[in-house]
Amino acid sequence: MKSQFLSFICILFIFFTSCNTGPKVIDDLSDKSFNVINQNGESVTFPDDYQGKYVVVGFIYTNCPDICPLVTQNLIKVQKEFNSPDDIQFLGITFDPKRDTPEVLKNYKGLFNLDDNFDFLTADSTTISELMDSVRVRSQVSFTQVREDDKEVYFMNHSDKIMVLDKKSRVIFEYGGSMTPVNYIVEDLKTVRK
Amino acid sequence: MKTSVVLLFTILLFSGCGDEPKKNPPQKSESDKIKNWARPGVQGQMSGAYFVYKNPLSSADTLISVYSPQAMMTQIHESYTTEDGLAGMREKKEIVVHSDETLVLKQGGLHVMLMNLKKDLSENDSVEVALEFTKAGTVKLKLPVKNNK
Repeated sequence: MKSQFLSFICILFIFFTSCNTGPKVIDDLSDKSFNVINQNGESVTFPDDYQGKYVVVGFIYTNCPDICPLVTQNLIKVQKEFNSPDDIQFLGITFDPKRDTPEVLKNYKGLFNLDDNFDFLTADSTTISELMDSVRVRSQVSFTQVREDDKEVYFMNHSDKIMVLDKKSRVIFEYGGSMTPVNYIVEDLKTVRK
Repeated sequence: MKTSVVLLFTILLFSGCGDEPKKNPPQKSESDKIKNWARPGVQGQMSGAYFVYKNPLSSADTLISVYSPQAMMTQIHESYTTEDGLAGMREKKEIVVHSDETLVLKQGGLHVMLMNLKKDLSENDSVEVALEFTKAGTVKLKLPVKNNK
Protein backbone atom coordinates (compact mmCIF):
# COMPACT_ATOMS: atom_id res chain seq x y z
CA MET A 1 0.00 0.00 0.00
CA LYS A 2 2.86 2.33 0.86
CA SER A 3 4.63 1.68 -2.44
CA GLN A 4 1.41 2.33 -4.36
CA PHE A 5 1.00 5.65 -2.58
CA LEU A 6 4.59 6.57 -3.48
CA SER A 7 3.93 5.65 -7.12
CA PHE A 8 0.89 7.91 -7.10
CA ILE A 9 2.94 10.82 -5.72
CA CYS A 10 5.67 10.23 -8.31
CA ILE A 11 3.17 10.29 -11.16
CA LEU A 12 1.67 13.53 -9.90
CA PHE A 13 5.16 15.04 -9.58
CA ILE A 14 6.11 14.02 -13.14
CA PHE A 15 2.82 15.37 -14.47
CA PHE A 16 3.09 18.78 -12.88
CA THR A 17 6.79 19.28 -13.55
CA SER A 18 6.43 18.33 -17.20
CA CYS A 19 3.38 20.50 -17.80
CA ASN A 20 4.46 23.74 -16.16
CA THR A 21 7.86 24.38 -17.65
CA GLY A 22 6.72 27.48 -19.57
CA PRO A 23 7.59 28.18 -23.18
CA LYS A 24 10.45 26.34 -24.80
CA VAL A 25 13.73 28.26 -24.86
CA ILE A 26 14.70 28.78 -28.49
CA ASP A 27 18.05 30.50 -27.88
CA ASP A 28 19.85 31.53 -24.72
CA LEU A 29 21.41 34.96 -25.17
CA SER A 30 22.32 35.41 -21.51
CA ASP A 31 25.97 34.61 -22.22
CA LYS A 32 26.13 37.10 -25.11
CA SER A 33 26.99 40.74 -24.80
CA PHE A 34 26.92 43.35 -27.57
CA ASN A 35 27.97 46.97 -27.23
CA VAL A 36 25.42 48.94 -29.19
CA ILE A 37 24.13 52.53 -29.36
CA ASN A 38 20.56 53.73 -29.11
CA GLN A 39 18.90 56.50 -31.14
CA ASN A 40 20.08 59.07 -28.61
CA GLY A 41 23.73 58.07 -29.03
CA GLU A 42 23.78 56.38 -25.61
CA SER A 43 25.81 53.19 -25.11
CA VAL A 44 23.75 50.11 -24.39
CA THR A 45 24.80 46.53 -23.75
CA PHE A 46 22.42 44.09 -25.38
CA PRO A 47 20.87 42.02 -23.93
CA ASP A 48 22.45 42.58 -20.48
CA ASP A 49 20.90 46.01 -19.90
CA TYR A 50 17.43 44.60 -20.37
CA GLN A 51 17.69 41.62 -18.02
CA GLY A 52 14.74 41.58 -15.65
CA LYS A 53 12.35 42.66 -18.42
CA TYR A 54 10.64 40.93 -21.27
CA VAL A 55 12.11 42.28 -24.50
CA VAL A 56 10.18 42.39 -27.77
CA VAL A 57 12.62 42.89 -30.64
CA GLY A 58 12.04 43.59 -34.31
CA PHE A 59 14.77 43.70 -36.96
CA ILE A 60 14.63 46.51 -39.48
CA TYR A 61 16.45 48.92 -41.77
CA THR A 62 15.09 52.41 -42.19
CA ASN A 63 15.45 52.57 -45.98
CA CYS A 64 12.88 49.79 -46.23
CA PRO A 65 9.55 51.45 -47.04
CA ASP A 66 7.15 48.52 -46.79
CA ILE A 67 8.04 45.43 -44.72
CA CYS A 68 10.12 47.04 -41.96
CA PRO A 69 7.51 49.71 -41.09
CA LEU A 70 5.03 46.83 -40.79
CA VAL A 71 7.38 45.17 -38.29
CA THR A 72 7.68 48.44 -36.36
CA GLN A 73 3.91 48.94 -36.45
CA ASN A 74 3.39 45.47 -35.03
CA LEU A 75 5.72 46.25 -32.14
CA ILE A 76 3.83 49.50 -31.51
CA LYS A 77 0.50 47.66 -31.50
CA VAL A 78 1.81 45.20 -28.92
CA GLN A 79 3.09 48.10 -26.81
CA LYS A 80 -0.31 49.78 -26.97
CA GLU A 81 -2.09 46.58 -25.99
CA PHE A 82 -0.10 46.53 -22.77
CA ASN A 83 -0.33 50.30 -22.27
CA SER A 84 3.47 50.79 -22.29
CA PRO A 85 4.26 48.47 -19.37
CA ASP A 86 7.40 48.87 -17.26
CA ASP A 87 8.34 45.20 -17.49
CA ILE A 88 8.39 45.01 -21.29
CA GLN A 89 11.05 46.74 -23.39
CA PHE A 90 10.53 47.23 -27.12
CA LEU A 91 13.51 47.34 -29.49
CA GLY A 92 14.10 47.82 -33.18
CA ILE A 93 17.60 46.69 -34.15
CA THR A 94 18.97 47.65 -37.55
CA PHE A 95 20.90 45.27 -39.76
CA ASP A 96 22.04 48.22 -41.91
CA PRO A 97 24.44 50.06 -39.57
CA LYS A 98 26.22 51.77 -42.47
CA ARG A 99 23.19 54.01 -43.09
CA ASP A 100 21.24 53.66 -39.86
CA THR A 101 23.23 55.95 -37.59
CA PRO A 102 21.79 57.02 -34.21
CA GLU A 103 20.60 60.26 -35.83
CA VAL A 104 18.77 58.39 -38.60
CA LEU A 105 17.20 56.08 -36.02
CA LYS A 106 16.12 59.06 -33.95
CA ASN A 107 14.34 60.51 -36.98
CA TYR A 108 12.79 57.12 -37.68
CA LYS A 109 11.56 56.85 -34.11
CA GLY A 110 10.14 60.38 -34.41
CA LEU A 111 7.93 59.27 -37.30
CA PHE A 112 6.06 56.92 -35.00
CA ASN A 113 5.75 59.14 -31.88
CA LEU A 114 7.01 56.38 -29.62
CA ASP A 115 7.28 56.12 -25.85
CA ASP A 116 10.49 55.88 -23.83
CA ASN A 117 10.46 52.11 -23.52
CA PHE A 118 10.86 51.77 -27.28
CA ASP A 119 14.44 52.11 -28.50
CA PHE A 120 16.23 51.63 -31.78
CA LEU A 121 19.73 50.18 -31.69
CA THR A 122 22.71 50.24 -34.02
CA ALA A 123 26.44 49.55 -33.70
CA ASP A 124 29.54 49.12 -35.82
CA SER A 125 29.20 46.67 -38.70
CA THR A 126 31.15 43.89 -36.98
CA THR A 127 29.03 44.02 -33.83
CA ILE A 128 25.80 44.11 -35.80
CA SER A 129 26.96 41.18 -37.89
CA GLU A 130 27.75 39.14 -34.76
CA LEU A 131 24.47 40.14 -33.12
CA MET A 132 22.44 39.16 -36.19
CA ASP A 133 24.27 35.83 -36.41
CA SER A 134 23.42 35.10 -32.78
CA VAL A 135 19.70 35.63 -33.41
CA ARG A 136 19.73 34.03 -36.86
CA VAL A 137 18.72 37.14 -38.74
CA ARG A 138 20.04 37.23 -42.29
CA SER A 139 20.38 40.22 -44.59
CA GLN A 140 22.06 40.86 -47.91
CA VAL A 141 22.12 43.67 -50.46
CA SER A 142 19.62 42.72 -53.16
CA PHE A 143 20.06 45.49 -55.71
CA THR A 144 21.28 49.04 -56.06
CA GLN A 145 19.87 51.95 -57.99
CA VAL A 146 21.36 55.25 -59.02
CA ARG A 147 19.21 58.16 -57.95
CA GLU A 148 18.66 61.31 -59.99
CA ASP A 149 21.34 63.01 -57.89
CA ASP A 150 23.80 60.28 -58.99
CA LYS A 151 23.94 58.76 -55.52
CA GLU A 152 23.66 55.01 -55.24
CA VAL A 153 20.99 53.55 -53.02
CA TYR A 154 20.86 49.88 -52.13
CA PHE A 155 18.02 47.65 -50.96
CA MET A 156 18.23 44.53 -48.87
CA ASN A 157 16.69 41.09 -48.65
CA HIS A 158 16.31 40.20 -45.01
CA SER A 159 14.75 37.98 -42.40
CA ASP A 160 11.31 39.16 -41.38
CA LYS A 161 11.35 38.59 -37.65
CA ILE A 162 10.08 39.62 -34.25
CA MET A 163 11.27 37.76 -31.18
CA VAL A 164 10.56 37.85 -27.46
CA LEU A 165 13.22 37.46 -24.77
CA ASP A 166 12.29 36.47 -21.26
CA LYS A 167 13.65 38.19 -18.16
CA LYS A 168 16.79 36.02 -18.33
CA SER A 169 17.60 37.07 -21.91
CA ARG A 170 16.42 33.81 -23.41
CA VAL A 171 14.54 33.82 -26.72
CA ILE A 172 11.19 32.23 -25.98
CA PHE A 173 9.07 33.27 -28.98
CA GLU A 174 9.77 34.03 -32.62
CA TYR A 175 7.32 35.30 -35.22
CA GLY A 176 7.19 36.46 -38.81
CA GLY A 177 7.71 40.15 -38.13
CA SER A 178 5.39 41.75 -40.65
CA MET A 179 2.72 39.13 -41.10
CA THR A 180 1.99 37.76 -37.64
CA PRO A 181 -1.35 38.91 -36.19
CA VAL A 182 -0.49 41.12 -33.24
CA ASN A 183 -2.87 39.34 -30.89
CA TYR A 184 -0.77 36.17 -31.20
CA ILE A 185 2.20 38.03 -29.70
CA VAL A 186 0.00 39.71 -27.10
CA GLU A 187 -1.49 36.40 -25.96
CA ASP A 188 1.94 34.76 -25.69
CA LEU A 189 3.21 37.66 -23.60
CA LYS A 190 0.14 37.56 -21.38
CA THR A 191 0.71 33.86 -20.81
CA VAL A 192 4.32 34.23 -19.67
CA ARG A 193 3.65 37.36 -17.57
CA LYS A 194 1.04 35.55 -15.44
CA MET B 1 -5.60 1.02 -6.19
CA LYS B 2 -3.18 0.11 -8.98
CA THR B 3 -5.92 0.41 -11.60
CA SER B 4 -6.98 3.76 -10.16
CA VAL B 5 -3.44 5.10 -10.36
CA VAL B 6 -3.09 4.05 -14.01
CA LEU B 7 -6.48 5.54 -14.83
CA LEU B 8 -5.63 8.82 -13.09
CA PHE B 9 -2.30 8.98 -14.89
CA THR B 10 -3.99 8.44 -18.26
CA ILE B 11 -6.61 11.11 -17.59
CA LEU B 12 -3.97 13.60 -16.48
CA LEU B 13 -1.81 12.83 -19.49
CA PHE B 14 -4.54 13.49 -22.02
CA SER B 15 -6.19 16.43 -20.31
CA GLY B 16 -4.64 19.85 -20.37
CA CYS B 17 -0.97 18.98 -20.69
CA GLY B 18 0.48 20.34 -23.93
CA ASP B 19 -2.66 22.23 -24.89
CA GLU B 20 -1.81 25.16 -27.15
CA PRO B 21 -3.47 28.34 -25.91
CA LYS B 22 -6.40 29.18 -28.15
CA LYS B 23 -5.63 32.16 -30.32
CA ASN B 24 -8.19 34.72 -31.27
CA PRO B 25 -8.66 35.34 -34.98
CA PRO B 26 -6.46 38.07 -36.47
CA GLN B 27 -7.74 41.58 -35.89
CA LYS B 28 -8.50 43.73 -38.86
CA SER B 29 -5.72 46.28 -39.07
CA GLU B 30 -5.92 49.95 -39.97
CA SER B 31 -4.23 49.14 -43.26
CA ASP B 32 -7.28 47.13 -44.30
CA LYS B 33 -9.54 50.09 -43.67
CA ILE B 34 -7.44 52.86 -45.24
CA LYS B 35 -6.79 52.16 -48.87
CA ASN B 36 -5.26 55.35 -50.23
CA TRP B 37 -2.45 56.69 -48.13
CA ALA B 38 1.27 57.41 -47.87
CA ARG B 39 3.66 56.71 -45.05
CA PRO B 40 5.41 59.49 -43.11
CA GLY B 41 9.05 59.93 -44.03
CA VAL B 42 12.15 62.00 -43.43
CA GLN B 43 13.75 64.26 -46.04
CA GLY B 44 16.36 62.32 -48.01
CA GLN B 45 14.90 58.99 -46.94
CA MET B 46 12.27 56.60 -48.30
CA SER B 47 8.54 56.40 -47.99
CA GLY B 48 5.85 54.18 -49.41
CA ALA B 49 2.41 54.94 -50.80
CA TYR B 50 -0.64 52.75 -51.36
CA PHE B 51 -3.82 53.06 -53.40
CA VAL B 52 -6.51 51.20 -55.28
CA TYR B 53 -7.36 51.93 -58.91
CA LYS B 54 -10.13 50.34 -60.95
CA ASN B 55 -9.60 50.24 -64.69
CA PRO B 56 -12.75 51.90 -66.12
CA LEU B 57 -11.95 51.00 -69.72
CA SER B 58 -13.44 48.14 -71.70
CA SER B 59 -9.97 46.80 -72.46
CA ALA B 60 -6.80 46.06 -70.53
CA ASP B 61 -4.53 48.94 -69.65
CA THR B 62 -0.91 49.00 -68.51
CA LEU B 63 0.65 51.11 -65.77
CA ILE B 64 4.05 52.06 -67.16
CA SER B 65 5.36 54.71 -64.78
CA VAL B 66 4.66 56.67 -61.65
CA TYR B 67 5.79 60.12 -60.62
CA SER B 68 5.57 62.20 -57.47
CA PRO B 69 6.81 65.77 -57.12
CA GLN B 70 7.63 65.09 -53.45
CA ALA B 71 10.35 62.52 -54.23
CA MET B 72 13.52 62.65 -56.30
CA MET B 73 12.71 59.21 -57.68
CA THR B 74 9.46 57.26 -57.77
CA GLN B 75 8.89 53.64 -58.78
CA ILE B 76 6.43 50.82 -58.30
CA HIS B 77 7.94 48.03 -56.19
CA GLU B 78 6.69 44.70 -54.97
CA SER B 79 7.50 43.04 -51.65
CA TYR B 80 7.93 39.30 -51.96
CA THR B 81 9.52 36.33 -50.25
CA THR B 82 12.73 35.07 -51.85
CA GLU B 83 13.41 31.38 -52.51
CA ASP B 84 15.49 31.19 -49.35
CA GLY B 85 12.77 32.73 -47.21
CA LEU B 86 13.96 36.33 -46.96
CA ALA B 87 11.75 39.39 -47.34
CA GLY B 88 12.70 41.04 -50.59
CA MET B 89 11.62 43.84 -52.87
CA ARG B 90 11.78 44.22 -56.65
CA GLU B 91 10.81 46.87 -59.16
CA LYS B 92 7.75 46.34 -61.33
CA LYS B 93 8.32 48.07 -64.63
CA GLU B 94 4.80 47.42 -65.91
CA ILE B 95 1.53 46.27 -64.45
CA VAL B 96 -1.32 45.13 -66.68
CA VAL B 97 -4.79 45.95 -65.33
CA HIS B 98 -7.61 44.16 -67.10
CA SER B 99 -10.95 45.76 -67.85
CA ASP B 100 -12.95 46.30 -64.66
CA GLU B 101 -10.04 44.88 -62.64
CA THR B 102 -8.93 46.73 -59.52
CA LEU B 103 -5.23 47.31 -59.02
CA VAL B 104 -4.46 47.16 -55.31
CA LEU B 105 -1.28 48.55 -53.82
CA LYS B 106 -1.09 47.65 -50.13
CA GLN B 107 1.38 46.94 -47.34
CA GLY B 108 3.38 43.78 -47.89
CA GLY B 109 2.69 43.76 -51.65
CA LEU B 110 2.79 46.30 -54.45
CA HIS B 111 3.66 49.82 -53.34
CA VAL B 112 4.84 53.15 -54.63
CA MET B 113 8.47 53.74 -53.64
CA LEU B 114 9.10 57.37 -52.87
CA MET B 115 12.89 57.64 -52.84
CA ASN B 116 14.99 60.53 -51.59
CA LEU B 117 12.12 62.62 -50.27
CA LYS B 118 12.46 66.33 -50.99
CA LYS B 119 11.04 67.21 -47.59
CA ASP B 120 9.66 65.51 -44.48
CA LEU B 121 6.26 63.87 -44.87
CA SER B 122 4.19 64.18 -41.72
CA GLU B 123 0.69 63.20 -40.75
CA ASN B 124 -1.88 65.56 -42.32
CA ASP B 125 0.40 66.23 -45.32
CA SER B 126 -0.52 64.68 -48.63
CA VAL B 127 1.45 63.14 -51.46
CA GLU B 128 0.61 63.75 -55.09
CA VAL B 129 1.14 60.77 -57.35
CA ALA B 130 0.74 60.70 -61.14
CA LEU B 131 0.18 57.28 -62.67
CA GLU B 132 0.94 56.90 -66.37
CA PHE B 133 -1.19 54.31 -68.20
CA THR B 134 -0.77 53.39 -71.86
CA LYS B 135 -4.47 53.97 -72.61
CA ALA B 136 -5.98 56.03 -69.79
CA GLY B 137 -3.05 58.44 -69.86
CA THR B 138 -2.18 60.27 -66.67
CA VAL B 139 -4.20 59.54 -63.54
CA LYS B 140 -3.50 61.88 -60.64
CA LEU B 141 -4.03 60.85 -57.02
CA LYS B 142 -3.67 62.80 -53.80
CA LEU B 143 -2.80 60.46 -50.95
CA PRO B 144 -3.08 61.57 -47.31
CA VAL B 145 -0.04 60.88 -45.13
CA LYS B 146 -1.09 58.58 -42.32
CA ASN B 147 0.82 57.20 -39.43
CA ASN B 148 -0.78 53.87 -40.04
CA LYS B 149 -0.28 52.22 -36.69
